[in-house]
Amino acid sequence: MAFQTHGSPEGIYVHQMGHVAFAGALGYLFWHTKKSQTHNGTTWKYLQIFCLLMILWNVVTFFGHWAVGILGVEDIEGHDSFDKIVTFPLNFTKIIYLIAKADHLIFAPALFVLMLSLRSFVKREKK
Amino acid sequence: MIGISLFPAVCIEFFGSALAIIFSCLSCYYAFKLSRRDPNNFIWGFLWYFTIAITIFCFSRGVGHIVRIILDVTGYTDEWKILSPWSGGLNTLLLISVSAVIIYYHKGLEAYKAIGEKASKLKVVADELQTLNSKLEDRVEERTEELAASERRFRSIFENSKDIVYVTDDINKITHINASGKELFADKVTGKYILFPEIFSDPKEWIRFKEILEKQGYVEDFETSCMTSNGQKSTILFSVNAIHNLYGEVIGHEGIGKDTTRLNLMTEKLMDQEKMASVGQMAAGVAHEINTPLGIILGYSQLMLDDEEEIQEAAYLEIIERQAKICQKIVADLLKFSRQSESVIQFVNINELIQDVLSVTGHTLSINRVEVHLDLQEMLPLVYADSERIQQVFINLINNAHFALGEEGGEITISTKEHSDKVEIIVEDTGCGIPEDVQKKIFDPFFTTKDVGEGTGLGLSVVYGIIVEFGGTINVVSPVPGMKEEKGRPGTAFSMLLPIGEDQ
Repeated sequence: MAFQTHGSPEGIYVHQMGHVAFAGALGYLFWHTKKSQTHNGTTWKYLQIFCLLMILWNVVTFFGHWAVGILGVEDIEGHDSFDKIVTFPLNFTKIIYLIAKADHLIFAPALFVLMLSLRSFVKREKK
Repeated sequence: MIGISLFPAVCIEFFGSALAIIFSCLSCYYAFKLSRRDPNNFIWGFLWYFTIAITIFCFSRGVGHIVRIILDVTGYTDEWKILSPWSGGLNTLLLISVSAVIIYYHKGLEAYKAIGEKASKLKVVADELQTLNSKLEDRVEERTEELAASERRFRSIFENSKDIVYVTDDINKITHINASGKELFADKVTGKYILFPEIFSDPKEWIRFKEILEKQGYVEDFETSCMTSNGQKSTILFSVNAIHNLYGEVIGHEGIGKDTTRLNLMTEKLMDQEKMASVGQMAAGVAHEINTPLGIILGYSQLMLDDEEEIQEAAYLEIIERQAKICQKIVADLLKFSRQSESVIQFVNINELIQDVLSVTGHTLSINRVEVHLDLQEMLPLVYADSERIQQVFINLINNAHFALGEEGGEITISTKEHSDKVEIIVEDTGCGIPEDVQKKIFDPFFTTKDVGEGTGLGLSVVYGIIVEFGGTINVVSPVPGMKEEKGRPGTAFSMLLPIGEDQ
């Protein structure tokens, strides 16, 4: 065959690589804005917080995806999203899964901070 | 409970996804505003693309989560299994895209900064150039005004100078000359220029001038005779400098010429007056010394003549007496010239004196075919002088005119008129005229062109002495302008100016 085949685990690998790349890029942005002499003030602080939160989110979701790959059918029971439970006994993987399931507690505030940052930029420019 | 319910987590997931979409949209909106405010700002541009990517990611992810929950709750779990790979794939793609946008931020910012720095430098240079340009314009304007003022000043000096100011080129063409020069040498203009050598009366003088200029590079106080536009010679005093090019070659000269004709004439007259005064003093001394022995000689010769009976001796004595009388007349004339005899000064009417003189001399003149014309101004102001001496002046001038007319006869015109604060008297004849070289000597005592025995050479000297004594001046003009064409002979005119007496 003249082309390579892509098996089922490849999707999750690519997605996980995407998280790593995204986290790395955010880390770079944080580092760059932090070291830059010109990027001072609250506006840039907000952006830096956004970067940190998003890095954290990437880490959480990365491990969340990892946990999903490990957990078996018996670890999560239920018919639909609302009545599903993570069965006892809890182990490290299940705890990670539970934390990752609430990733929006990081994701939504991160975007909120991004919004604050940009709004501050706009206000500053108006002055 | 056999486990931990995921219900709270699903709720967080559901509402969190919705909030994420809202916040990302607002972020996108603010970034858009920033980029519109300053489209050339790289950071706003980056944030604009970054928030677009984040918003699409939030939409993809959030909608995916919400749809998944809804499909799961509503029993369409199988349908979600179909959509799930598409949603997950899109999320992965957007994750990588956002990463790529961030990574390119670094290089873009560097380029933006570099361009900004260059733009700033260029702006600084442009500002400096503008400042310099502005200053240069001001400076140029200032200098132009100064130059214009200077040019006006020097042009005024050049144009209004009563002296000749001129510039020549390498072939001695006068390229620039002021109004005084043009007036003096108007007839020398060939086309639009004057050839400098042509103004010299004597070509040798030009050669001498040129030699000095070439040798010294300048000519100082070079006085020479020049032909002026009215056909007369004028004496011009030149002071010039050679003009050199970068290689030291003479490419012309520039100079000033002063017309010294009048000055020279006045100097000459002054010298003449000095000379006459000296001669007068000497003559007075000699006359005074001779007068006494001469009187004695005449007295004794007359006594001897009365006593002498011999015819031959009496004849000799008569000769002695006659010659002694001639000598006495000469001495008397000399004393008159030197103003040694006594005068009776009073207000006199010149017209009346002329009439008196003509009443005595008129008969002789008419016999000798001399017509006398009078052109006397009426109400002529009186002159404060000695009438006898003034009469003597007219007698001598009329005698001279008579002599000049010779046997052929002719016309004598005597005119008077008031001239400013002076009375002008002109005695003009149509005679043979006086040569130019003789004119300079005619007032000298004992100078005469008459044959020996015909004149003493004191007539005009006496005239000169009397006129000067009464504060006047006398001039001779010969030939009289236009006389030769009209009367066939050059003629002579004596012009005298006597001051009008005060308290009139």
